[in-house]
Amino acid sequence: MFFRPSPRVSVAFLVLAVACATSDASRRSSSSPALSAAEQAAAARIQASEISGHLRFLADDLMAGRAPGTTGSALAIQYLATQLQIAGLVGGLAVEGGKRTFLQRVPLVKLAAHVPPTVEFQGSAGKVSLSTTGGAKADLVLEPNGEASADLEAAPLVFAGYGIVAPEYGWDDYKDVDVRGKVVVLLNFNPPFAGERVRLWYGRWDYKFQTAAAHGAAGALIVHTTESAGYPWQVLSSSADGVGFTLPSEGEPRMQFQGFLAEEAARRVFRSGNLDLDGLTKAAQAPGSKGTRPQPLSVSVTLRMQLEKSLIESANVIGMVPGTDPVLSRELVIYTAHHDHLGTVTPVPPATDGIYNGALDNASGCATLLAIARAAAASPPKRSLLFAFVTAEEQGLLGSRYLAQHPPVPPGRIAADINVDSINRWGRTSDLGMLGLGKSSLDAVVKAVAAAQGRTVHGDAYPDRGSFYRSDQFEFARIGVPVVAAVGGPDFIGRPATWGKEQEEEFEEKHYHQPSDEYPRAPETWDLSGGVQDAQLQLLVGLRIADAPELPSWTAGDEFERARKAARKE
Amino acid sequence: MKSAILFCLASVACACATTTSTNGGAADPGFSRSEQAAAARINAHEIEGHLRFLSDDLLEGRFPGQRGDEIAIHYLAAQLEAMGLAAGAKDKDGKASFIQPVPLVRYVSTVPDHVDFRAGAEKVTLPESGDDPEIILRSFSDVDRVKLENTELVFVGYGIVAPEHGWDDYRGKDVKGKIVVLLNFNPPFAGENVRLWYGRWDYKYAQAAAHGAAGALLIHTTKSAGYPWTVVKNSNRGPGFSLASEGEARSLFQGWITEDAARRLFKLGGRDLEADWKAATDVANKGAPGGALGVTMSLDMPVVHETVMSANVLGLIPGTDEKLRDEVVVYTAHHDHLGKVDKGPGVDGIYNGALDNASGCAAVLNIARAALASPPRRSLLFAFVTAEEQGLLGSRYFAKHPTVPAQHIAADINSDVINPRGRTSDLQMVGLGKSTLDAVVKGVAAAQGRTVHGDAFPDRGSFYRSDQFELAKVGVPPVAVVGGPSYVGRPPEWGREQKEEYERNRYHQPSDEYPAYPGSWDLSGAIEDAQLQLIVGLRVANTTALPQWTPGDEFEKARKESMK
Repeated sequence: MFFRPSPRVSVAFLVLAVACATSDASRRSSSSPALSAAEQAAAARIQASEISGHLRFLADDLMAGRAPGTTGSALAIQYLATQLQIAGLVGGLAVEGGKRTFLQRVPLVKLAAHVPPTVEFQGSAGKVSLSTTGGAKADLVLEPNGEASADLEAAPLVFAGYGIVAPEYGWDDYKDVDVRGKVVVLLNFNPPFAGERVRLWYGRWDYKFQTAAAHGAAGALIVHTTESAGYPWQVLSSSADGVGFTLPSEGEPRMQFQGFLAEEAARRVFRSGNLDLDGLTKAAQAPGSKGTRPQPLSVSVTLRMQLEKSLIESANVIGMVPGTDPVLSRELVIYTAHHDHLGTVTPVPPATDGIYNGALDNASGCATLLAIARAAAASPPKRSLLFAFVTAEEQGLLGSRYLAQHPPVPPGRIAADINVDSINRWGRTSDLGMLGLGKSSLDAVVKAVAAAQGRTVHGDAYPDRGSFYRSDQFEFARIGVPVVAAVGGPDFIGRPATWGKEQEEEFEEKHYHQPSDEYPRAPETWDLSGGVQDAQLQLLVGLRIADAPELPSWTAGDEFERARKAARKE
Repeated sequence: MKSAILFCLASVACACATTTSTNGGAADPGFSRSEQAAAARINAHEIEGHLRFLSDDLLEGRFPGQRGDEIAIHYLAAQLEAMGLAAGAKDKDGKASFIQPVPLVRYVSTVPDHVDFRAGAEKVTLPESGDDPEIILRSFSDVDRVKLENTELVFVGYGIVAPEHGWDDYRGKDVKGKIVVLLNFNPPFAGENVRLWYGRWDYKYAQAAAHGAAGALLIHTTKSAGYPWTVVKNSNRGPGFSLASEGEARSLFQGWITEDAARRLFKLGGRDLEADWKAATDVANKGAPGGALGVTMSLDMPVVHETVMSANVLGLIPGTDEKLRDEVVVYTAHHDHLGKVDKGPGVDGIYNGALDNASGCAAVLNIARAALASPPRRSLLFAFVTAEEQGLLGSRYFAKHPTVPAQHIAADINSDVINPRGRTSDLQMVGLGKSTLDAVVKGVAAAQGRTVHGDAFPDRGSFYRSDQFELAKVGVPPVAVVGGPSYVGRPPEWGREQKEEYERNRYHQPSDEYPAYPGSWDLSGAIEDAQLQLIVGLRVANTTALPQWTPGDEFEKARKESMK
């Protein structure tokens, strides 16, 4: 699960799924109450022991936390490719000479910025010097965005509200202004397009930086407030190290830097230009404002920031179960799970071994995908199935982004993505949480299979976390592919009502992204009975999608519907 | 495959074959439907996948105790768990585990430049170091220093105690605290030129230790060893591995001397090597007249020893018959190889051991999965053993610490180096003639349209050179088979040429890789062999009567003892 230490990512607190769910289960896919004999046979091929065995290997200390580019990661990659071959899959990518390969090389760029300790802002009413050091006391966090060093001499600042361009809502924060070569200052979060306190993609920092870059900005600074971010400033400032990972530029616009301003520091910067941050914020947020009229701040910034760039080779591992239908087999259902995790840390924190094994996150998802792949290979559906183990999720969904940008078939021919990131390790459940419930016709497919299992489906059980945008399904949604991201719980069979939530919260608090996210030593195992239930559902959902005459579709008006339409035209 | 170097070349199997096909399983001309279904579960992509992983450079040549070894062990355990086998071992807390830890001891002896032998005022000095040593010494004793002052040498001929042949080379000799001098090979107990366990150096060293000898010197001749002195020199220097001592007798050192050096030592004591040799090998004497040479040896040799942990990996498919399920058919394959050496930048120093024996492990993994779908009456145990290349140590440890008592092991089916060259019309069975398993193998081979013969390379004595031997020593009848050398659609000599090319250019070299070059491996023959091994195992596991050694076989005694 992608929750990079600087919890910008945690972007979180989106109350997404449930709120925007407008269930259309009844309208689509005849929700057969029971499983066919073939489905039952396929489901029976998913065994807890298979998940446990793969999980145990991938979470072993020998993998050293599977950080991209390391030997441990190479071992995990080789393991996954081997297991796909053994399960009888063919390589997921065609290479020259009619041959196929299981490996998609993914070049990653590591950018380490030499962040200057102070940055000068020159306003019409005076000068402000902001500090980038001192942890919680820092005024400013700076990071690389493009691959070039920053070299800005008195670049003007422009306030551009939320930094959102949303034609479907008639909203444009960039209208009538040229921000080229300038530094935009932005608010976090988004207008209540989908309800109060519902964060959309528009409300995420990476959307805002990308949109600023697309408008030619030289840099962008997001004003941090605890309310709009969902976490206090020190979460951001204490983990700032100037290091960022990215895919190599393929010609898309990049800025010279990106960053975050502490709220009080932002006030000072605005004041130096004789402007009032709070007033401007209010104006930008006003209902019916339909966007900020970008406001030159009569403040400029001078910044020089050297970058050190290094290239890291990693890989997505991709296998295919060819479909049986001569026409439909040209289309794909993709299963994804990220294989990377956080590696090791030195100095080794006390009472740990310093190895981020990532057993749940996401050796467990990889193990599950392997079991699904084997089960599916025994009775292939009409469409082809692709099993993709993607890299560098923890660095910002980079492996899945690379795959989405370099898919084996055009995005319009990808029926769906079923992503598995951190399985249920606490036993059987009577319910299932589906991220992004309400977004597509896949709701009905999931609900039908869940019903056959005697389970109910609800939206994100932790709506304040906004998990939809935080794992690899999101990169497929962005290219228009409808997605399934579902996990059992939090109602565990035979447990008190609050038990599931307690387990989850305890994990988040004590083990999530910690060296203690480990698989127990043999012969101990987790209770994988619930993980098996979920894997069976994911298998059958995938088979039903792959056998259905029609491709799944987004709910009308969904934020990703436009991307799908564009993809289908190609 | 255990280095040819370390083991003597026995010309064994064909010679002692007395076909017993009538007293084993009936040679069914065909396969039952369930056998056919099981055989169909053996496939190239599964063998190839495991093979590719285990021989990857990331596994660094799988040297016991090193990172690559650990990866291989965890990989094999993960595969067994993922397939759904039951754990076949117990961990130190008595919990079921796929991993049987095997403590190995690594010994490094600092040998002296030369060793002095004296008789009165006379002295013979043999060089130990340099390019032309005449004596080679190594210690596998848990001492810090081997220190001997004027210790007596005693000639004990072959050093064999074989009551069933009325032979005893130690009769009437006191060798306690002394150094025994030994001849290689054995009397023609099973025919001329047939080497038995009695004729192997490791037997001889063990006997010397059991008789309390402080050390043992084996006289090298190219004829009796089967290989020249250079081989002794190259393979017995440097670190050596052994199992941790469990209280069994160990000499302070093991050594070899050249024939010429032996001649000088005998002369020093006023003896004549040729005359002593003749008397010792005269079958009428039933043991060496031999005795004290009147020569003493002094030695001061520091030894460093450290424990290195490796492991066997064991998985079980429980049998379906309540009475027979306590018995097992065991499949073995060694997972270790020779590790890596730094050969400088750009030079591949990784001994991947693709054929030796990632291939055998891959085949056995596939056999396990195939068997799992329809388990037989007896249980099946899959044992991936360590440190074979260091002297069959993992299988020896398993044989000493079996997770199923030896008398409950119906048979061992060992895979060491599969056939990578395509389909064959024949099958080589090492140790053909030794047990009722011949008939089972022949029955299955016949159903495949293949004939069975003994070791196609009888001068190599492969029976004693891989892990089936350690199981045989505790009385378990083995199956060690591989297709060839007659390849379908190839000229008659092709198979032998290919094998010799491998021995010359890839065996125990970094070039034993997968694939050596694109398209260089054809697994169709290996699939047939794995199918045969699978069905042989299933038939043995489904047959009520246990397999039997051929009456009088060298391992019959061990079986009878274990059955008590």
